[in-house]
Amino acid sequence: MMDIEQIARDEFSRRAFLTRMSAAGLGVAAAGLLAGCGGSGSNNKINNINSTRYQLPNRTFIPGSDINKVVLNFALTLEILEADLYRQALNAASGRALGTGLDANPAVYNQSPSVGNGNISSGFGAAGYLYLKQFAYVEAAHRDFLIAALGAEATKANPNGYKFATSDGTPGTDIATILGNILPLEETGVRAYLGAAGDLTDLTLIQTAATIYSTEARHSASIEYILGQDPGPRPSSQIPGVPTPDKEVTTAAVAPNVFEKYLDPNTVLAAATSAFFK
Amino acid sequence: MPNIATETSPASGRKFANGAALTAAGLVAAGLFAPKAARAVSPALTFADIPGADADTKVLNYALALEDLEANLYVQALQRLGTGGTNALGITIPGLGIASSEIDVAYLTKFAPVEAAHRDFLKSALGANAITTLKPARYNFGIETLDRRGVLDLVLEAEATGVQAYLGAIPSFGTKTYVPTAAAIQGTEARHTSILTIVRNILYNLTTPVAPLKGDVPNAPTYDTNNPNVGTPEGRDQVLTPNQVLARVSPFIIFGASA
Repeated sequence: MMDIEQIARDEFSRRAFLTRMSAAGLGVAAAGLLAGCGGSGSNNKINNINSTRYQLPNRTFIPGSDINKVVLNFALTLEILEADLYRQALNAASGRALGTGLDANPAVYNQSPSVGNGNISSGFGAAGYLYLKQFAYVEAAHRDFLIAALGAEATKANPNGYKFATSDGTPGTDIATILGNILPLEETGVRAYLGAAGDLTDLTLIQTAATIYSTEARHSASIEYILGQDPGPRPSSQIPGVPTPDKEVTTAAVAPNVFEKYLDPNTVLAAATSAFFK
Repeated sequence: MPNIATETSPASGRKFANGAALTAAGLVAAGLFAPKAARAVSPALTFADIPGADADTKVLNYALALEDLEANLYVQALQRLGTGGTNALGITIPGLGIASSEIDVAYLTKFAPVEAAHRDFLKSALGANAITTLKPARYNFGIETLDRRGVLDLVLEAEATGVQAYLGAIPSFGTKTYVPTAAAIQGTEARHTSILTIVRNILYNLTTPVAPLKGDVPNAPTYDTNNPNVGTPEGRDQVLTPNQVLARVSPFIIFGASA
């Protein structure tokens, strides 16, 4: 079984080493994300293009002065949501107040003795807690990457915050339950990126978005392994909390687990706002 | 650069990362096949060698070439772990007799038909335009000499390389037409990579991250054996260009007459 302490040590030592690099490099990398796709970064007034494919249920359009920025703001809307719910989940699993911000130092987080593993073994519970911690920082990094890329055009977080799709809006009190409540976020994220990628007008931009997308697929599969579920890709009808039905990239008859599924942006926005927005 | 040169495992000569340096002559010297047998493609294939009347066809054929290799690797890997077999080069693969209930065998068994389905889908989609350059190709992974962990390492490397290969090929498309389909396959490879990483961690008490961490080394020049999931400072998947990938896989691709 995995040595949780060793994993944690490796993670932290590497992170300590690379944090400075990361801070220095993020702006440059993010600037490259939008290089060559037009834009009006220096304009004070931003004219949104109001794409009907990217509309919140209250008919508010996802902002952006061109379609690429709309799509990236759509992604940012979801990454802000994911990062915030991971933060809450990590707090819950660590016995910290839900409202506490994500600490700059991952070493402060440890599984709370009062947080059990739920219906999974202790080894899987320990690994699940580790993933929760690792993925929380990765989702925050995705969010920050998109914010840096969009600059003044970056969309803002929901002012009322975010909640889990549970009866009391909290992430749960054991590792299996918490991961089960995170999973629909990740699986919806995979489908959201795949459903929006084709709207980006530049192949290099699609490539960059895809480097985030496949990370969400990894997170989904890893959580599913811990929970003893099929690591997919599988239909959303098998994953509570993910909008149904999802769509296939091909009309050909395909065997299970062969292609990732996708959802249209408006479907994602409607489901995400009703389930997770306060 | 991983310290491939200092590894003592017999499997190290067949690491994907070592591909470019592994010549056909080296394979012969290593005794991987009989002297009269066919040889690995040399010099390594490049993207220019991949056929296609337009850019989209070329990228799809590139994907098909990789899926064909990957699907065959799964077949040979399962033969090696299980009850053995013979590959297309006529090389006998003795089985290690690992039970089908073991998690490495179980997940390889689950993923093998998925890779075959990717190959068959691409072949069917391309129809008459499907790559024929590789039609007589057979694959020599030297799998008959790998131990149980060596087999899993090799399949994991293939999946991790596949994730980066699809990402690296996206800008080579001529249009966006097939990008979502390619991405739908790539996400599947990403899931496989994470699951096989977990399986390897469990079986061998390792601590490899299952997905790129925030702060992984940017633009890692070669495959990192210790972390097939190396990412970027922003926790994204890494990209490999088609020529980088083809240099890695060419040593496994054997042309010519049967042994």
